[in-house]
Amino acid sequence: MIVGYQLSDLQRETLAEVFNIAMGRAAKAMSNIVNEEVLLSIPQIRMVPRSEASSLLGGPEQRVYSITQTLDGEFHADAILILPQARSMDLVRLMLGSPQQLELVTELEREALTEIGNIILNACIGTVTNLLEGQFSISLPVLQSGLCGDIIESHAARQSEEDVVLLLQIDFTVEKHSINGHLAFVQTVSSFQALLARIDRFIEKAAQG
Amino acid sequence: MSDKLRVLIVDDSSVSRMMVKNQLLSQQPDWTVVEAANGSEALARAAEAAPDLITLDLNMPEMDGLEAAVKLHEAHPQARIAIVTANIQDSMRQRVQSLGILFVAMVDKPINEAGIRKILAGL
Amino acid sequence: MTSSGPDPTIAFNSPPFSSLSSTLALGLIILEQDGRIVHWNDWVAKRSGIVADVALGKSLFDLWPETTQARIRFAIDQAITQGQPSLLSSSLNKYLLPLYEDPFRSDPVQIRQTVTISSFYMTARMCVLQIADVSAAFARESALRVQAQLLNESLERQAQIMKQLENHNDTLDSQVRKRTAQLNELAKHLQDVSEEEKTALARELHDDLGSILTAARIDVFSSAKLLAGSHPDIHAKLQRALRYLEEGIQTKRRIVEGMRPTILTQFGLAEALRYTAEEMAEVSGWTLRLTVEEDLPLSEELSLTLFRVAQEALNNAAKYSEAQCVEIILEADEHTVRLVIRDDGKGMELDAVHKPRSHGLAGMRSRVEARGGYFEIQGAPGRGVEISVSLALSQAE
Ligand SMILES: Nc1ncnc2c1ncn2[C@@H]1O[C@H](COP(=O)(O)OP(=O)(O)OP(=O)(O)O)[C@@H](O)[C@H]1O
Ligand SMILES: [Mg+2]
Repeated sequence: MIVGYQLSDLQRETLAEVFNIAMGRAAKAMSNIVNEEVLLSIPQIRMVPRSEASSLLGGPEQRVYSITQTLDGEFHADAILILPQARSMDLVRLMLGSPQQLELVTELEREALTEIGNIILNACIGTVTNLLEGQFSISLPVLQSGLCGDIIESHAARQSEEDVVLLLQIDFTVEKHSINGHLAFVQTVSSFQALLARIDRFIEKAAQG
Repeated sequence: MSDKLRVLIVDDSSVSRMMVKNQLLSQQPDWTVVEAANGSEALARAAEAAPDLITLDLNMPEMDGLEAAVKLHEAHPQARIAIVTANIQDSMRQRVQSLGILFVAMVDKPINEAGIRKILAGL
Repeated sequence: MTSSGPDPTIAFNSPPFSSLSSTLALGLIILEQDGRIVHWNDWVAKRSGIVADVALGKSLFDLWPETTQARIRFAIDQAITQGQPSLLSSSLNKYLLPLYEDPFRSDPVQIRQTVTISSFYMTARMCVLQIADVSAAFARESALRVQAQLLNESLERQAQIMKQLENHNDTLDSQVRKRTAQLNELAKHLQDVSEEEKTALARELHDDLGSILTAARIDVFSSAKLLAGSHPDIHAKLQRALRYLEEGIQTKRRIVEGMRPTILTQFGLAEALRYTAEEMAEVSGWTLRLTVEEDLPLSEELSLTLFRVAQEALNNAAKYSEAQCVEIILEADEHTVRLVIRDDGKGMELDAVHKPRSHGLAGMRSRVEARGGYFEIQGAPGRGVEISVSLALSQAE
C-alpha cells in the first residue's frame, strides 16, 4: 500500500462507529417508509487505491447497480453505493410489496432503488461532511447499471492526483432478505488526508468529553 | 445523586466507550467507570465491580446487547441499565420492552450531554 | 431576513424567472430556510387548487399540514440544514403532496408524483422542490402487472388443462388395460371350456366307442376263426371287416390322442414335444435340433398351451415351410418359461398372419395372451419363420 492512506486501528474503528451510527439512521428512515425492520451494518472498512477497488467489489465483471452522489466544495468526492444487480431488485420489490413480479425492471422500481440509495448515501455523506465540518454542494442521486469495473473507472476524481477509495462493506437486510453491497468514497489522496486529520480531531474531542 | 456510583460501560467501539465515559465524568466527576467491549466481558467486569449503573450498546458481535441485558439483569438485579445505541427502530424498541426489564433510558448514539442527562434523570 | 442580497420573493416572482417557471412541465416550489414559500409555479397552482398569491409567504407546513410529520418534512430539513438532496420516489412514498389532476372535482384524484428536493445558496440556503407527475408511468406499470397476472393465470390454466388431459388419458389407458384383461380372461375361459369338452369327448370316444369297436373286433375275430375252414368266402369278408375295424380303432385312437394328448399328461411337455417333433420330422424329412429342458414345474394348463402352440407351429412348418431344419427350444428361469420353434424354410410375409381363413397363428397368439403371456412371430420371405412365446410360470391371478 502507498504510504499516506493507511488507517490506524483507532481511526478505522472510529470510522466504523460513525458510519454504523449513520447506518442506524438510514435504516430507521427506511423502516419508517416500509413498515418493516431494516438492518444496515458496516462490517468492514478499507482504504484502497482506485485501481484495486473493483476487484474488491466482486470483480470488474460483476454486474451492479450504482447510485452516486457527488460532493463538491473544499474537495471533490464521489459517494457511490454499489449493489449486486442479481439480488437488489428482489429487495426493492420486497420493500415495495409489489404484488405481481415482472421480468423487466420498471422505471418506478429503478426510481425506488435510487431513493433507497439516496437515503443510505445521505446518511454517510452527512457523517463525512460533519466530520469535515466543511461546506459542500451535494448532487442528486444518479442510478447506473453496468459492470462494476466500468462504474468505478467512470468516477475518477477530477484532479490529476491518484485517487483513493474508502470502501465500506454494507450488509442490508429487510424481512430476512439480505444483500451485501459496498459504499465507495472516491476521492483524492489530499482530501482523504484532510478526512484523516478530522477523524483524529474527533477522537481527541471524544477523549476530552 | 451525590453518591459515588460505579458505572459499567459496555460497547464494542472504544471511541463510543470513551465518549460515554467522558460525557459522564464531566457531569459526575466522582463516579468510577469500568469498561467492557462485549457481553461476556461485561458479565465478568460486573461480577468484579458490582456496578450501580450499566450503559449498554445493542449492536455488538458475539453476545448481542439484548442477551447481555438479560444476563446482566439476572446476575445483578440491583444494577440499573441504560441502553445507548444507534437509531432504534420500533421493532427493536418492542423487543427491548418485551424483555420485561425496567431500563433507565434508551438514548441515541452518538452520546451527547443531553443523552447523559436523560440517563441521570432516570436513576 | 437581514441580508444584502436580492429579496427572493421578488426575484422568483418577476420575469424572466417567473415566465420561465410558468412554462415548466413540472411543479416548482422554492422555500426559504424557515419553510416559507417564495415561489409557487403555475403547474403547482393548477394541481393544488391554491393560487400563488395565497401560497407565497406562507409556511409550506402550515399550508399543507399533512407534510409536517412526513418524510418530506425530514427531507426538506436535511436539504436546508445540511445541503443534502433527496429523491422521494412515487412507489416508496404513496402520498407525497396533496396535488390532484383536477382539484375542484368532488372526488379529486391524487397525482402519483416523484419529488426531488435540493438546495442552493442565495442570501441563505434555499430549498427547491421539483415535482414530476408519474401517474402515466404508474398506470402503465399497473396495466403491465395486470397483463402479467393474466398471462400467469392463463399459463396456469393451460397447465391445469394439460394435467386434466393427462389424467383423462391415464383413465382411458387403464380402462383399455382392464378391458383387454377381461377379454383375455374370456378367451382363456373359452379355451379351457373347449379343452374340457374335448377331454370329455375323448373319454367318451375312448370308453364307449373304443370298447364297442374292441368288442366288435373280438367277436369278428373269433367268428372268422371259426369259419375259416368251413366258409372261406365268409372268412375273407370277415377278414376285411376286421381290417376296417382295425382302421376304425386306429382312427379313434388318433382322434382321442389329438384331443387329449395323453402323452402330455403322462410324460410331460418335454417328452410330448420330442415325440411329436420326431414323428413329424420323419414325415417331412427335417433335421431336428431340440434344446428342451426336462421336468419344468408347469401347470397342466400351461403345458397344454405350450404344447398346442408347438403343435400348430410344427403343423404350419410341415405344411408351408419346405424347411431343412427345425429347431425347438424350451427353457425356463425362475419366473418365465420360453418356447421357440424356428424353421429355416421359405419364410413368409408377416401380412400372412392376417389371411382371412387362417386361424392357426391367431389362435396361438390368443391362447398365449389369454394367459398373460408374450407371443411373437418373426419371419420374412427366404428367412424362415420363428415363433417365440414366454409365459409366467406362476399365474398372476
Ligand atoms: N412355418 C411357415 N413357413 C411358411 N409360411 C408359413 C409358416 N407358418 C405359417 N405360414 C403362412 O402363414 C399363413 C397363416 O398361417 P395359419 O396357421 O394362421 O393359417 P393356416 O395354416 O393357413 O390355416 P389353419 O392353421 O387355420 O388351418 C399360412 O397360410 C402360410 O402362408
Ligand atoms: Mg395353420
